Amino acid sequence: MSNDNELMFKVKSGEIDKLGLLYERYKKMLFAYFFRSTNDRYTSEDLVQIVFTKILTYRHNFSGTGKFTTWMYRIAYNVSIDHFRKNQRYQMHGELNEMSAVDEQTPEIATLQNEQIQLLHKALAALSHENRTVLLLSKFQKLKYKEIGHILDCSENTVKVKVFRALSDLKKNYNLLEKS
Amino acid sequence: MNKKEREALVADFVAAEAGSARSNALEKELLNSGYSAKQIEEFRQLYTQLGKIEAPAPSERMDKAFYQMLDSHSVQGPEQENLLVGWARRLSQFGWRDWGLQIAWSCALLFLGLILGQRWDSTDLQYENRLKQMAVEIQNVQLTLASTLLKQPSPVAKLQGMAHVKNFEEIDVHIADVLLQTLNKDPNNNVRMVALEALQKFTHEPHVRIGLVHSISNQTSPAIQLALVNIMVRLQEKNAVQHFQKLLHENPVENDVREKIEKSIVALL
Repeated sequence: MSNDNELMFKVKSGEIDKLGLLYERYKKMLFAYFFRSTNDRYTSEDLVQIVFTKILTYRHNFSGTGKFTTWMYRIAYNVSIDHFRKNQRYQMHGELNEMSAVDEQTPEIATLQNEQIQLLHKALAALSHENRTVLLLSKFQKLKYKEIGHILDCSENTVKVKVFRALSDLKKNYNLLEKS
Repeated sequence: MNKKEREALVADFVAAEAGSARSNALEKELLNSGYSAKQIEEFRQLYTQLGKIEAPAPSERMDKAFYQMLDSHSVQGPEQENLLVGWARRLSQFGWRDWGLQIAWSCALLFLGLILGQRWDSTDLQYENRLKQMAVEIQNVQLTLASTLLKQPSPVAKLQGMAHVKNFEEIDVHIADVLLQTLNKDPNNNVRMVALEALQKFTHEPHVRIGLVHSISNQTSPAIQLALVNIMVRLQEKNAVQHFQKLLHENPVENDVREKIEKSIVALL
């Protein structure tokens, strides 16, 4: 089976249909990345679509010097920044009381039976975009801190500090939600 | 150890596999740097709990939107070639035969207009009849034109023919056969994909539906294989199962496509 970079080079050289294989490989991971961030199925599906459209549009920029996934997540990160900028209502940093509005839009959350996990999901959604991103990329997408550094355009050590601060904020948010 | 170094140590600790030698070593380092055992355990638990946040699977709507986007780009073809080379290629493909067809089409419409103008009648009934007759005549001209274009060796002509077919409300058996033949035998993947796209509109026709099912085992392009999988699942076409199985047994299929086909077979059974 062709590796990701080989497939992306084929896409770059005009074999557009090969993007279908990359899509099938990463659609679930990308969708989960956006879903855990937005808590909304349709928005997440739209954002995945935007990522792949951008991959196709900017395919000539793919150099292959790094992993395809790093390049893809960098695009995904930028797409999510744009999304959250345009939809300020999702920016719930420090505004935990607004979380109930998210619940109404996401029946999926109701399927999560454990109350603690629900609270944790809310606490995660309430983090700043960058803090949430480092946790999503390290915990769920299993990326190394060095790779996350390439995506966020910062050093590996900076990523580690961001992870620590994200965890600290997550803990604070969680405790606040638990008390309320 | 400064503040940032201590914070980075926590990040290393939570990412290390619990119980591993590295994790134990980092835990000791954290204890020595001033963290309490309780704080360390809280970080570990929080990070572990985070992994339990689930995400649902994406819906077919996402797949549909993606493949539509991919199809629209595929039709445009490669964009990398030099501008001058591209124009030279297009000029060489745009032969006299194509010019002839364009002129013939224009003449046919002009002729039709002249006839209608001469025979114009003021009574409503006759007016309606004339309109109906004109629609039939235009459809016949379009049919002839599409049929002629589809039989041309040039991919550009074929794509033009298929664009005409997409405007049809019903499909002629002869045109459907030409499109199915294109889908099965054309050497150009893009042309085959557009043929499939054109046929998709007419899957209510048994002839087209059967033709699509039989074309499954002829396909080698992963994009077309995936598009056919999506069509068959949408149509809930159980007859497709044996053809997908034949495709899996007899042709080399990319692993991702294989996985999708296997899931679809289960869904169709």
